[in-house]
Amino acid sequence: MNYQRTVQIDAETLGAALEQLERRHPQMKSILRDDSGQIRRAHQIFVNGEQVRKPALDTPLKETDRVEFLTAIAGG
Amino acid sequence: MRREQAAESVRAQWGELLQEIGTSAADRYSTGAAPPRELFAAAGAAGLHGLFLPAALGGRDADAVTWGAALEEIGYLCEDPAFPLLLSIHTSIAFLVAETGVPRLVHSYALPMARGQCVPALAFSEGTDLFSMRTRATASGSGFKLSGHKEFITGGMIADVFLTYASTERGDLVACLVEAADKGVEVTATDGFGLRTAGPAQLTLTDVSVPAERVVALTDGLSNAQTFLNSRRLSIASYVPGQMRMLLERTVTQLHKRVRYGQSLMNLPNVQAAVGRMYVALETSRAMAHRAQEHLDRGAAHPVFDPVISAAKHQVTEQALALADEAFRVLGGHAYYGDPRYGMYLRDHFGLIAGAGTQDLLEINLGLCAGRDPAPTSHPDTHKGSIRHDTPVQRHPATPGELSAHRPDRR
Ligand SMILES: Cc1cc2nc3c(=O)[nH]c(=O)nc-3n(C[C@H](O)[C@H](O)[C@H](O)COP(=O)(O)OP(=O)(O)OC[C@H]3O[C@@H](n4cnc5c(N)ncnc54)[C@H](O)[C@@H]3O)c2cc1C
Repeated sequence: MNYQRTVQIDAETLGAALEQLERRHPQMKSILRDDSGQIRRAHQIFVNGEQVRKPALDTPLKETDRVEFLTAIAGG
Repeated sequence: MRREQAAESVRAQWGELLQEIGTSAADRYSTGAAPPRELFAAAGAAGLHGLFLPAALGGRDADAVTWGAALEEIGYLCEDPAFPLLLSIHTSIAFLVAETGVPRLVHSYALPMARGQCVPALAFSEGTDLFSMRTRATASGSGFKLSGHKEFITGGMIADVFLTYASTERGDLVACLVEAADKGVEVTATDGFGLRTAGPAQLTLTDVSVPAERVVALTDGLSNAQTFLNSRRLSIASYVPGQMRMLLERTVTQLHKRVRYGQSLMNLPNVQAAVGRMYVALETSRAMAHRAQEHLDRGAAHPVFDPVISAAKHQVTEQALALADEAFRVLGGHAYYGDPRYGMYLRDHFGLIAGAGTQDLLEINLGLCAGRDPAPTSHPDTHKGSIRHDTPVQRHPATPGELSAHRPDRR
């Protein structure tokens, strides 16, 4: 993503936001989602600073919401 | 109290067995041999594995405080320094397989593992980052064909089955069980700096057929592995303080015996201070481990990457090494050439710098978790209606690990 950490997107659900992000940056898709299209559980998702415990693609978003992905992963 | 009971029950029920497992550990360390495989079956039959397993596998459904205390005691008692590590990997894999809830996997693998009849090991790392694994899982019938190489597998030499992670054609990771006896599997002994009684091995897979019934995670193996590693960190944080306690006691015993200028070394204030620092290292480690165990029991732990658990693994590792450093300073040549346990301890605990998440990467991840903006909408850099991605530990060219703060895309 050309070293961009933040992007602005118009979307009403998390799934729609991801689709837009992936259209702009196709390489993000396999990082954010598994083969079945679900968000990988390794990503912790926060909406306006609150962690979404079970993030789903239909999680609603409203204007000015800020979605953060925190991916803390390590080897074996 | 629960902790003391758990420790007492380890001593009373399995003390003799642990002693037998520890027999000739120093000799085996020099030849690089794991504890005899039959002893795992004996331990399983004696119910030792059950201490760490759910009732569905014939286990005791013990909470983390109880099994953590038991692991610490095993770390303290067992002369084979790799045994608590091997035991905890074994039961963690049994647990993970049981959690799939797939009857065939539970019946054919998790239950025999729980009884110590089937020894599992983890085949994950292969000298790449997590998005670039080269072990391939190619769809074949309803299952997969696996080819690739795993470079360092703790317990690989005594394993019957490998929990193996491999990349699919579409870039996801699958987790499946590969049997040591499968056609195309080659297990070769390997050597490391420490943990020489852990029977480390390399695994080479050449077109190994893995039927669908042996798939543990069909998608998102990355998160599956991270969940597994999260629990591995707590096991490490739990057993290592037992080994620290053993080394502290051994050092104190030796210091009392060593006489210089007419008095025991233990009478000298600088030596007392060193022992004091060793004690602080031990108690710091125990406190961190206990807090992490209680955190898990309260249901407060994040299943994939929990900061409290990771901080415990990190700090216990650092403290374990600091404790050895003190011992080497006050024991003179004895620790270096007089008692092999010191060298074994030092080498083994150096392994924890890389194992189960390198210390460096844990620090980055912990910094990321602890460094989240507590009030993001009030921050001057905040961009409304935005997506932010912080991924610190990936090195794939396409990953956001290479994203650093830049001006946002303002459409
Ligand atoms: C005692 C021991 C037991 C093990 N047992 C097993 C086992 O049973 N099964 C198994 O599969 N594997 C096992 N391993 C392998 C282990 O999983 C790996 O060594 C570990 O995951 C680290 O991977 P690596 O060695 O490739 O290090 P690397 O990934 O190369 O990391 C080394 C260092 O590079 C830097 N670095 C790497 N990535 C980043 C990044 N994104 N950002 C910033 N810095 C970075 C950090 O300083 C890091 O500490 C074991 C290892 C040890 C030491």
